[in-house]
Amino acid sequence: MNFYKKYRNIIEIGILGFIVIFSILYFNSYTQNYLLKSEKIITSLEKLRATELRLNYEILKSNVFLYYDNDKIIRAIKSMEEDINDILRFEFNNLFPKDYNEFLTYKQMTYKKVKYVYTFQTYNSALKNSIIFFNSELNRLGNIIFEEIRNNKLNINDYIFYQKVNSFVTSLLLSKNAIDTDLIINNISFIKNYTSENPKINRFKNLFMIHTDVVLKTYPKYIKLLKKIIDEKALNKLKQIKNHIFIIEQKKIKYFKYFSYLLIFFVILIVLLIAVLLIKREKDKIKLKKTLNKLKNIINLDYLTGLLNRMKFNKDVKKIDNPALLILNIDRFKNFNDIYGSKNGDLLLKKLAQHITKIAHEHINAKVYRLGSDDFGILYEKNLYDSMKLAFLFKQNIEKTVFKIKNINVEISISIGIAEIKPLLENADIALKATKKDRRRSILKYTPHLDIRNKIKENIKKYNVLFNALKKNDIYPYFQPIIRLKDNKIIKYEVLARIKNDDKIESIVPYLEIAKENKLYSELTLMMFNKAYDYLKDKDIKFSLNLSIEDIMDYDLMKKVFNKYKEDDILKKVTFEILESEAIDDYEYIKNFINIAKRKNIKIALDDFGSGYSNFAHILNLNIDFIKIDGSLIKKILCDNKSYQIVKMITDFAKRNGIKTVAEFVEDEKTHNKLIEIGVDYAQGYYYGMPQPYI
Amino acid sequence: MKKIFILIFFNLLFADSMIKPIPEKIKYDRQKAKLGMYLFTDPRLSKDKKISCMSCHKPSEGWADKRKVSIGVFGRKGRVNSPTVLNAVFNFRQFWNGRAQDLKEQVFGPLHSNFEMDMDKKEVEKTVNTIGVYKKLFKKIYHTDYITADMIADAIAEFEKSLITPDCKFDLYLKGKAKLTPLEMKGKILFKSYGCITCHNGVNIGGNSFQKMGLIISYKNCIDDRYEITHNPADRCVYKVPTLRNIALTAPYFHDGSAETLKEAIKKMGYYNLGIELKSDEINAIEAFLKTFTGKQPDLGKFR
Repeated sequence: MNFYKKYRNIIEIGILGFIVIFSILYFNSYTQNYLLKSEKIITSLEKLRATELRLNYEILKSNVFLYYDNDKIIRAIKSMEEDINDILRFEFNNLFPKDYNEFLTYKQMTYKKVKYVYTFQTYNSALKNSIIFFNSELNRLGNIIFEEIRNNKLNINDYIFYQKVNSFVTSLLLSKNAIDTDLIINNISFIKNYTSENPKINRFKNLFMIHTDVVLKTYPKYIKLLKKIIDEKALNKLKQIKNHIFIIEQKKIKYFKYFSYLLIFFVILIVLLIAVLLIKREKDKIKLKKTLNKLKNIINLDYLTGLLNRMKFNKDVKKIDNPALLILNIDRFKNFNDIYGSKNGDLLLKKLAQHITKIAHEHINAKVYRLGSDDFGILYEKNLYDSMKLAFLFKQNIEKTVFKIKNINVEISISIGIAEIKPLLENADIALKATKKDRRRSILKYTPHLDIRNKIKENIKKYNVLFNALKKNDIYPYFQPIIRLKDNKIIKYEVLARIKNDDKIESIVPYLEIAKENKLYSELTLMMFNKAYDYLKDKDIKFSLNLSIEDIMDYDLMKKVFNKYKEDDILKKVTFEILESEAIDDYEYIKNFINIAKRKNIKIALDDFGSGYSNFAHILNLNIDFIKIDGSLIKKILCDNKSYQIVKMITDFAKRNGIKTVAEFVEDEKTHNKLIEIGVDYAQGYYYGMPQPYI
Repeated sequence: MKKIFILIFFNLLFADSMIKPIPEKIKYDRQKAKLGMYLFTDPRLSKDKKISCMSCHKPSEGWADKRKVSIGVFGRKGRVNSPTVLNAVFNFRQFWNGRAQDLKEQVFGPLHSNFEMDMDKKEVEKTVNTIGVYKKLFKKIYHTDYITADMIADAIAEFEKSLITPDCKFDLYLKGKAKLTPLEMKGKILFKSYGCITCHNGVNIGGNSFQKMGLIISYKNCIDDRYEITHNPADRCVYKVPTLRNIALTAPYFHDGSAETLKEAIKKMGYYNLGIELKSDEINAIEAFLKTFTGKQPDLGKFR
């Protein structure tokens, strides 16, 4: 069925072709057979007609000639009979039924004719017999008359008798040769009734009369028979049959002609159909080729931007000896899509693709690819260009360009990952991801240490250490003193977490990220709170504990914390250091928590202020006691004026709002002095004291 | 007068060519003819196992029968004198009254005739099919296991076809190889001038038309004539003209064998068919002429 559908046209033309070829063959053999047969019949009929004419001719000859070889008539009759049988052997009753019946009639006529001929032969011989007799007897009669004349005994009546006999015989011969009974003298009463005195004449007369009787009796029948035999009825019949067959044949030939035209028409039709089919096939081939090319392009080209795609990149990268790759990625493209919709996002991608291509073509010999959703790749020969310079070229050019997307003026920033080491794509991607981590650098070249794969390994290791430590209770609180800058007196200790790893005590900081990711953070926080409590509850020492926003948001954790820290003694001694981060999105909740803590006499400090997302407005809302200025700022206040200015500003701002400031990471005296000069209230760092397991 | 003479003279010019010599050889199938010869001479083909074709067509009697009428099975008498088989192939019909178209058809006449061999087709077939020699020969020639009457007739007819008598004196004369004696020459002229030749012409000197016995003086004993077949009154006493070849060998003459000698036959023909009484010198001359028609007799040794 499938096969039929697939080759329907071919099968149909094939069938039609077979029918036509079969028809031609059949038609050919039929017409040949028909024409041959009808021609043979016509020829045979003509031959038969000639034979019958020969028979007639022989009959007439035997009529005229006194001496005649009857074999010739017999031979003609035999030929005629043979010819008739030959024709009947054609069995043309199907081809020409009417003529066949006519021919059978003709055959009957010839039967009769042959019978007539035999009788004619009998009569003819009888007549000839008498004519020959007359000849010799007339001679004798002449001699008798001559004898009478010589003896002068001639009886005039005898002479008249002689003349009458003579006339009769002559008329008989004439009549016979003319085949006309009118010419014969019928009145022979004189001869019959004549009685001569000469007995010789009487004897002659008697014999003559016997013969004459025979002749006169036979002769009319003979003439009638002869006329019957040589009449052309049978011959005409034959001629009619022949002509009729000829007419039918001609008619049939006409039909043959029409039919052959029809066949020719079909042959032409088939040729045309085949031609159409071939043309169609050629067309299909061309179409297929086009489609194939298109497909090839689709395989190699990105459907949206028309840039080369990743597959093509994989091919091309193998062709270059020292390839290098830039991956350009739109910052926060997801946000753009969320805001303006992915349709406009696509438009942006298109425009950017055009723009990148333009830059690439104007400045360098490189190929541009779309490698991911908003990742564009630029592949080039490493030795020709300085990759960093290229990256800056693209970045500057793109970032100063305004893309018009449906009346929206879009400005974008991009990050670029560079790879000069294979595997290019993966390495450039790593570099790109690294830029996203480090906000300050938006162009990064891949170096092996960027490799996350190492980090992952490290992370797994860290996780295991952390997990085991938590399990074994190997987390220890260390205490770092916080001094009052005014008099260098220790007023408080910050509780810092330490972890035991292979019998070595390490800072918890490298493990914090892992802890956050793996939900171990709250456990860690709780363990620290509990251990700090146990150690400090009976000591008259103030201390501060770190809480992240995530900790505060963890209701269960906070519940456990407040269950532990519920006596007034301890609550009075505690400060919560809250680490501000971008994760603060529910200010009300934080505010509420701080208020609750304040009511319990807990002090609140804002940790690491001045890094990242510091927001002065927040501080005022949050009713806090301390601001801990970020260590990275403190480290630089001696050499970096900006840092100094920020620290100064924070300090001034805090003072004006009744908030105490704490400087972290103080490592030398100069810093210490500078802090005093600025007016910071408290400080901590190695300059004052390392974190200690005991106080 | 003159007209008549001219006419007759004119006609006489053609007279010699009216008798044609028979061919020296005739085409026939030798094997079939040999088989036909066996059958021709085999009396088992008759009812009383005593009569063969040859019983009435004796080679020693001009392949005819000396007896007025032939004697068939159980001594039954036939009706007419048996005609010669010699040159029968040249006859346009067979039998005295021409009721058979050809030799093959003729074979069944004597076979079935109850006063000749008195066998019907089935009997003949049964007889021949039980004879081993015939089974073998027919198998070889006709490629058949069952011998039909038609095959038997075919073989016999083939044999009869071979029985021709070429190179009679007159044939040699026609071919310019022999001279006729004055008497024979006289007989020849009489044969023509009396009009014998109007019926006795062609290759077989007769055997090519039906003519009336007793044309002028009516003949009484008209048995087995054409009338018995056609029932046409005009056919009374009409017979196939018999051949004159080997006529000297085939006495007695006429259908009824009524003429014992050739002379008598000539005389009777003159009387009945011309109404004249031929003189004895004329009869002698004609007889001498007729004797020149005796040809070379077939040698059956050629089949051995």
